Amino acid sequence: MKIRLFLVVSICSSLLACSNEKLPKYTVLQGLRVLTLLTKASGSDQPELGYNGTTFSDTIVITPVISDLYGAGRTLKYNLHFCLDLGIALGAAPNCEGNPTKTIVGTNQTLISSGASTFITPNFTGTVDALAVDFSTMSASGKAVVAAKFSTAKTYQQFNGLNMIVYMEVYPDGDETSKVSAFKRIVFSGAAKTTKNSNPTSVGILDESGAAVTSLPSAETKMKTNFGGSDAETYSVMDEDGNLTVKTETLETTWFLTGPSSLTDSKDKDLTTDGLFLLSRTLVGELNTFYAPKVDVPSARGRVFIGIGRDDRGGSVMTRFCTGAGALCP
Amino acid sequence: MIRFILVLILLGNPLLFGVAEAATFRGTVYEKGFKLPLKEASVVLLPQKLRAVTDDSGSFTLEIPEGTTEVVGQRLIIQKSGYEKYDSEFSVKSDGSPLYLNRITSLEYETTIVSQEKKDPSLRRIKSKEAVMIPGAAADAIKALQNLPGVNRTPGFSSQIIVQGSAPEETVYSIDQHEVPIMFHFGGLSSVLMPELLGDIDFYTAGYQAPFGRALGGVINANTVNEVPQSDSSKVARGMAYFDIFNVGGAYSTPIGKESHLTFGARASYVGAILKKIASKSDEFNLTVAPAFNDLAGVFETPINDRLKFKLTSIISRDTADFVAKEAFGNDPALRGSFSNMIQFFRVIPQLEWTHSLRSKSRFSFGLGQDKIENILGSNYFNLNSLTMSTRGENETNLTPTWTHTFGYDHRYSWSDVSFTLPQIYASGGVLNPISTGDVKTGELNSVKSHKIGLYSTHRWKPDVDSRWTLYPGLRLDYFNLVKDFQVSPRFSTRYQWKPDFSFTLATGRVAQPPAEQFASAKFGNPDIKSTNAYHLSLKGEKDFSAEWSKGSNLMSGVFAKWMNNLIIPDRTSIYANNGSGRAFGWENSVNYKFYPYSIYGAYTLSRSTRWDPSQAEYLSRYDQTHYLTLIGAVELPKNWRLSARFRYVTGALTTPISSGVFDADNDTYIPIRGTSFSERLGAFSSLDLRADKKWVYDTWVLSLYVDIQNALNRANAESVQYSYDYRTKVDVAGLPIIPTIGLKGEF
Repeated sequence: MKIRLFLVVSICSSLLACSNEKLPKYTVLQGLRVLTLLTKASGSDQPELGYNGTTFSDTIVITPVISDLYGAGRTLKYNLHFCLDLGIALGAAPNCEGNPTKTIVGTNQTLISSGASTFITPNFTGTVDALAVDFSTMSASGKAVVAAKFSTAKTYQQFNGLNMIVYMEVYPDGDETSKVSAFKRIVFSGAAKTTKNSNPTSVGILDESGAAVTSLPSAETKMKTNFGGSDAETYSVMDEDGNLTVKTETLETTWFLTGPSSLTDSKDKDLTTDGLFLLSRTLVGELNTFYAPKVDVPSARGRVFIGIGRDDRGGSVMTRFCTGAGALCP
Repeated sequence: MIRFILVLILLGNPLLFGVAEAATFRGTVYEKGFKLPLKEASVVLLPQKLRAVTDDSGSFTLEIPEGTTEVVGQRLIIQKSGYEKYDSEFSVKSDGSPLYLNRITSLEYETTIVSQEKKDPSLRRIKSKEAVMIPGAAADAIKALQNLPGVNRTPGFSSQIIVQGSAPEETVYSIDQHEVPIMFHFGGLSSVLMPELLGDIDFYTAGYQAPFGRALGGVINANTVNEVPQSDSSKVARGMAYFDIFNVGGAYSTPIGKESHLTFGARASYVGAILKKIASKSDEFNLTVAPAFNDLAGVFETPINDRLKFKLTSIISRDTADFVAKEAFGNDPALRGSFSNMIQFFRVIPQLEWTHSLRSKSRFSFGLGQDKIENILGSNYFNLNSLTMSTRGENETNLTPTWTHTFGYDHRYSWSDVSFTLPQIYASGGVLNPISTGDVKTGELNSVKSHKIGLYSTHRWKPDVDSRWTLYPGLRLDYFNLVKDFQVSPRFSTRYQWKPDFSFTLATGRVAQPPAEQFASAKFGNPDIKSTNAYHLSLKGEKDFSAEWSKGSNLMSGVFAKWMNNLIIPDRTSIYANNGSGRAFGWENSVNYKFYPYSIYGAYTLSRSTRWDPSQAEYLSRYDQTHYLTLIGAVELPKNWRLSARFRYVTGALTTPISSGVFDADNDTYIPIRGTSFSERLGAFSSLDLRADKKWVYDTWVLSLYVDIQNALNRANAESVQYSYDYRTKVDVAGLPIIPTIGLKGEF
């Protein structure tokens, strides 16, 4: 047994991480979380904008997907701002602090009012009202920085696109210490890139046999996301030498499920109250296993499933369903 | 008639009369277990007090005078230093029988001969045969280096050597002075060169001399066995085979003719097959190819003539592991899917030693090899295929009885093909940003030619023959073509022999290290990056207690300091930049005390290592360890039992606190928000390792069994910190639990 433990620990260590039973599981929704920021241009279902060197082709709309399962319907506030990405991939802090292009969209604004029906009371997991972000509201000096960055970027960078960052903080009203934060990159590219990225579409969840799943099963079930007709787009990437390479998007789904307030109860598939997914993420066509709950299925709230589909270059889509009767799942 | 018969009987009974014809008794003395002839052993026959000394073949002859061949209570006594006394009843009838002496073994850890001048005062030398018996080293000599003063403990499961506060990558590993890409197989389970092929391990630390370079920390050189000119032990064929819980292996060593020698050995691991079986039950993790390592090595030596000696060392090493992770490791979506890792290398190292005269000698060696790395991490990959040729040559001339000059060159050439699709990795403060958040770079670099050329000159000079001072001035010039960087590195050491058994050494100098190829890559790094450099200073005293106590007992105490410049750090503009600085200093001590059957070794290091860069004021380095204490004790017991123990206490590892995480909605992961680099320390590490060795020594072969128990107290030492996906909660990751290891070895 010790040797087994040693061997497993050794290989886990070499990978720097292994699942730890004392830590919460990614798929289980318990506290306040931002699950994604669905994004599209106001004129199309695209998370990418054109840029001509001075102005953006469109404004964008951000739709946060939030879970606050045990928040008891409290009011949630938000701060929202945007800025030019100065190099998060190279280690810059993932926010706009100290960034000369920082532009505030809203501070201490109400994201969701207490008990709002749009937030699927009493389950508190789902989309909230969309927020408009207009990059043209940036200060003149900020616009100059963006324009300079774009004009000095190399051809391949202008083609592949630079990033604006939309940064959001969400917190319970009056309790900023419980703040959670998230950001979303908005790619803006030059005219040479004629086809901008489009968000994937999802038409639901299928089980192993291909039948639609619209509520959480009562028995162990293998299931997958049905991305529908758009599926993975092909697109071109330019390298440093100006050569174009055609790539195909990798579509991936992240699976979330409401869970018990106690951490330990969310670890064992034989004990969980809401059920449990084997995997937190699956590729398109890959099956995930849902373990149905065996004890203490919640009666005071519904059980909510959310699947977030991503296309590996900023596009995303959400599938959601709730299992429970009447007010539990309006 | 009856009276006649009685007279005949009485006349024929020498025990009664003590008279008989003169006799010649011949015997051959061997080391028990290996049938190794023992020369210069003292042979005494009592009570006649006849004496003889064995010759080169272990043979001796006793001429027993007439009338004394058969005496009541005769005893044959044989004595030789390092062996148990042979004392047995004697009978002339056993003429020609082999006689066996048991070798006395004891734990001798570090070889320090204070009265002997070294070529490099910073050199510490470890004998492989003794080092493999250190508890906790899992029978690996190179791993035992971690017990030396000035060597920091590597947290986690690695066996990499951290020298005096430098990063592991700032230490160069070589075999017979030719650099190799790795010294340890995966997980640090074992070094790539099996102990039977290893002679000594040379360890060069702060202030090392000009023949070596390209390493800010230190140099670890594994010297393969030297059996020519043939010693007593190399005049007979010897072999061994062993297995333990990780691997199985064997080695054979044989003289070829009267002057040449061949040694070869091979190992294969099977620990991966066990791991694969365990992992097959996992829903989230599937090993498709069991992790495995194999190595094969050989050493051939022959004198070409009286002045030329030829040696050929060859080694092949290969590590492989493939697995499928269905769930993302560390909540990083990029760390999911198929993983494959293969690293292999080979080296063929012909060496020529040419003695021109009593005053002059030259050495030439050539290392031809290939390094191959194939890594697949989900959708990312990295392939390297590199041909390497390294050459070394030096001439050593005694210009006068007190002045020796050595000059030489040290060239390493590699010709590499690299292809990759990899994200930029940002790991400031030792905290890795999720790989999926880095910009993915794809590239193919063909025929990348790298030259690292070094020229050096060193002197060893004493003002006069009787002087207590020895000076070691030196100079090294390096050129690295990839970064077009020329480096001048003066070195200077001096040694003062205060008393015959007490010396002081001062060593100082500048060292330069070229950046790793990826840092200088135009596609992946910064083509304008330059070499890093450091200034070393070391002062130590060594006292040899051989005269007062026993052979091998000694004490060393010293201080070291390093100032590091142009360290390479991540940079948002140029990806990498030479904007880092650092310093390390410390006090290191060791004591070796032997009083048979006991032996004690202790090492203690007090040190501090810091770094700084434009974005951060001076902070503790990841490799800072304030206290590091190692105590090793061993006792030889009757019937070839040996018990040994190692206790270690190390200040806890440093970590960078993470205050929170920001959700990256594009990549479905969280980016950590770091606090001050390495500003938190984990709990102290302590561990007790135990080892028992038992030998069954038969006349012509030996069976050995060892049981090694690492972390015998099963202490849960915190090795690192693991955070939740959003960095809001954390838990300590404990190191190895109690690990019993058992090994069995048969040798002749």
